[in-house]
Amino acid sequence: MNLELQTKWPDQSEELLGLIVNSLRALDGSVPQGCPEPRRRPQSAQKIALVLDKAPKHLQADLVTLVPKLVEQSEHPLAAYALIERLQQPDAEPALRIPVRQSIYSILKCLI
Amino acid sequence: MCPNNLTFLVQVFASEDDQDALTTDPDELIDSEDSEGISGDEEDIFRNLLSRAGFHLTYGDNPSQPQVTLREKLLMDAGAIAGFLTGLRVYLDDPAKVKRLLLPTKLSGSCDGKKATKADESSPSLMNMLMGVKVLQQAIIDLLLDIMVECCQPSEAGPVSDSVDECSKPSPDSSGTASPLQCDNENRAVESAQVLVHERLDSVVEESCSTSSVQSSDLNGHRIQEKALPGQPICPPETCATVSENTSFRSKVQFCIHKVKLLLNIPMVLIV
Repeated sequence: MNLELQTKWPDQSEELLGLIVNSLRALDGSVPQGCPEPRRRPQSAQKIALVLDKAPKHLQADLVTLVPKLVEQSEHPLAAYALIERLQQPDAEPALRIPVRQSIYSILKCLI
Repeated sequence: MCPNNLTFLVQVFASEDDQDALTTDPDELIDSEDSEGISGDEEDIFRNLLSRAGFHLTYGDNPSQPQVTLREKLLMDAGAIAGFLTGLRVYLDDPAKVKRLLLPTKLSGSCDGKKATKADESSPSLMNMLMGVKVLQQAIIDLLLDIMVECCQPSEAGPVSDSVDECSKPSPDSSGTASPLQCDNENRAVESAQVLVHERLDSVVEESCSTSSVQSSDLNGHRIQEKALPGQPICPPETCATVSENTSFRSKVQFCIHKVKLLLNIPMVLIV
């Protein structure tokens, strides 16, 4: 289920997604992962789930790895559950297993 | 102030009356040849821009004092931060501008007046530099997530109704036609995307309202004691509620932006 639907910015959506992913990946290590963090916008888990549903396959592994950064801490358990559920789907990409484990590991580290 | 400190001026709210005097349009600032290298009177220009933004800096014995003062002012002024984030969200409603802020920057690497510019993959993007500012980081990450949702949002016409039409057709067999359940899930995703995108733009209203509230208090001479985080509404709920009840979504945004412009009438300057 990639960007087959026509999006608001059909010509640039994939490129923009790629640029955003690169930009966020460059932040590795510098984003505060621990508590406390300032108030963030709600529904971040829902948003990333939607992006993961629609994003091109070649970006999905990176997006999964970025989940702990993108999702507000209070929604981390929800995000972790969604990631595990994603792996259990019949059409789940085997290549996503490692990124999902990495993300869940990061989430657990924050929770402990 | 050494140009190597990579001074970026990002104007958000420009007074329309002042446009002729000194450009504060971010596009013009970025495109301008003058922006490729800072030389000569750049300190005066910079001080002038800051002064117009409401940051009056004084030079003391310590040459880095203006930077310190500016940094403190920016970090302490919740209204300025919220205003900047609001402006950034509005600015990034254009995909070309999103791309511009995400591509590697052309850096001026000279402190001695020589113009040396480069733009390669290793250069940070302006968005990355903004995320380097701690007080902005989380808000910008949230903004990027919202933009990603927008990238995945189906356009309002066409595909949505098409998918609904397809779902209304009975599935003749199991030869690859989407089942009603699949269509239902897809439609829910579409609806949810639209809700999330509307929320992104709603937050602009929220930030605008909070900014205008802070700034109007400042204009009245009252110092704001509470520190507001970006995104937290400071305005009384009824202020935003009245707007949302009586006007369309777009006009809500326009209204709040106009209000902010009237109240601020300043360019916002951010130094990274």
